[in-house]
Amino acid sequence: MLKLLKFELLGNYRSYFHTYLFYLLFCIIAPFASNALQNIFIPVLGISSVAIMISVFINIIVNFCKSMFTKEGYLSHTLPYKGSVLLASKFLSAILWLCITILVLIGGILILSLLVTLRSGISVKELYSGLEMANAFIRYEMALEGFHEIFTLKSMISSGLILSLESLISCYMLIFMIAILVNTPIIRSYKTPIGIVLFFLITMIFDRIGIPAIENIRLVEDVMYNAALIHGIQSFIQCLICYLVSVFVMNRYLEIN
Amino acid sequence: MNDKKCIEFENVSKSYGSKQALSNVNVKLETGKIIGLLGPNGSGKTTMIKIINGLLRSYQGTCLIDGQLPNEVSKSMISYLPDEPYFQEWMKIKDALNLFRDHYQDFDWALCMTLLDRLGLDPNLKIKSCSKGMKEKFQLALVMSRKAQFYILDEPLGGVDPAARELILDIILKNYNENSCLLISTHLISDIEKIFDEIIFLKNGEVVLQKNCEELRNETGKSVDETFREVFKC
Repeated sequence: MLKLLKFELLGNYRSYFHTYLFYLLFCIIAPFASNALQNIFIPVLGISSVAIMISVFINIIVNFCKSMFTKEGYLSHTLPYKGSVLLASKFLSAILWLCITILVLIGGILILSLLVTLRSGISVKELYSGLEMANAFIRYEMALEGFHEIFTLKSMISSGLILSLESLISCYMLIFMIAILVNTPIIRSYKTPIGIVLFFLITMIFDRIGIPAIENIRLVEDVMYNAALIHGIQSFIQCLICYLVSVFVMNRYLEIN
Repeated sequence: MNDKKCIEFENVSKSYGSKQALSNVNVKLETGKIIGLLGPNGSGKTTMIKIINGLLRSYQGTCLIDGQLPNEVSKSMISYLPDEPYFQEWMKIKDALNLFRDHYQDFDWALCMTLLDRLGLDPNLKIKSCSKGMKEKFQLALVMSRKAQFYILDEPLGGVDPAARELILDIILKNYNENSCLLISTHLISDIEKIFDEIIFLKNGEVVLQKNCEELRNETGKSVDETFREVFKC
């Protein structure tokens, strides 16, 4: 498994490394630009963050399809591993790249914010106090509404990130499963439109069955962490189902042309 | 003691939609032989090879490799050369060597370097910058550097110039282990027939002939190439 993962990571890092490097350099340089340039740089940074996220997301799917169903699949599928191990390595590699991308994007924004703050004469200590004040404000707002402290600024931000990551991960596994399904003899033509229809159909089924079943369960006091945890369990179950179906289909109906 | 391993096809049929690619194929490929899988384009050669390698899972009948269905164990016994380049374009030749060393325990690095040297290929060359013939040569070097039970070569001479064919055949013969089975699919029969022990003729997905080469030549008084032209005359 580790050898396969190493091969996956080696194959993909060339696609992303330069993008990450340029983005981080841009985040470092932007605060030192003139005001006129900063007016251009800041929106460009915002757009490029979204563009990087989307391109990495699409690139991972394209690489998966190429390595599984095109001539590169001749290599992937003749390596001496079970289909389940091969798929797991591709899925883990996708998760890893997703996490690295999110870390790079957040890192870039943090670097940028820190440099802008420092350049405007605000110390790190004052910045921290500002965050504490924002937290206190949220608590005050909740108290006004008559609530006990059910979430904090920290839990709100981290849960938001975790929720996004969980959604993307389960989305990957679902797309991988659909890619495998449409590359079987069962579906010989209109693969892309059928794949898109299947994606929405299966997502709707998971939403109908999965969310109502456990959405009201309270596992931890903080509502934000609770939502992330519940969503994490749902995503895990969804990934497991998609993975098992994918392995079953690969073992019985795989067709590399 | 008979320790021969074999690949067995029992009533194997495969269709792509309405096109019948293989029809009730029954063959047995034993180790210790060089077998030619011969037939015109679209006769089902590559389909047979893909089934052996586990690249096609949906078919009727049974394909057994050393008594088991194509799986991770059978894949470790088979050294497969596809009919087209299959490495990722970003790789250098040495990256492919590293990949084979990491994944196949029977891969002989030193032998591969020797073969690359004989074929005039630099391990630092990027696959992207190689011609089709160079890619085929380098893939052949990789595949023949394994100590496998079965070597399955799909059109190994297809993209190679006539001058290099002798060298390729020499590499195949010198590195083929006599306790293994070498299955070569080709339609360049005259170039290669001298090395075959046995031939299988495939026509429209059916096995029309499976015979020992020497017996075939004695019976017909013709070369395999001549018999092939007769059987597949348009």
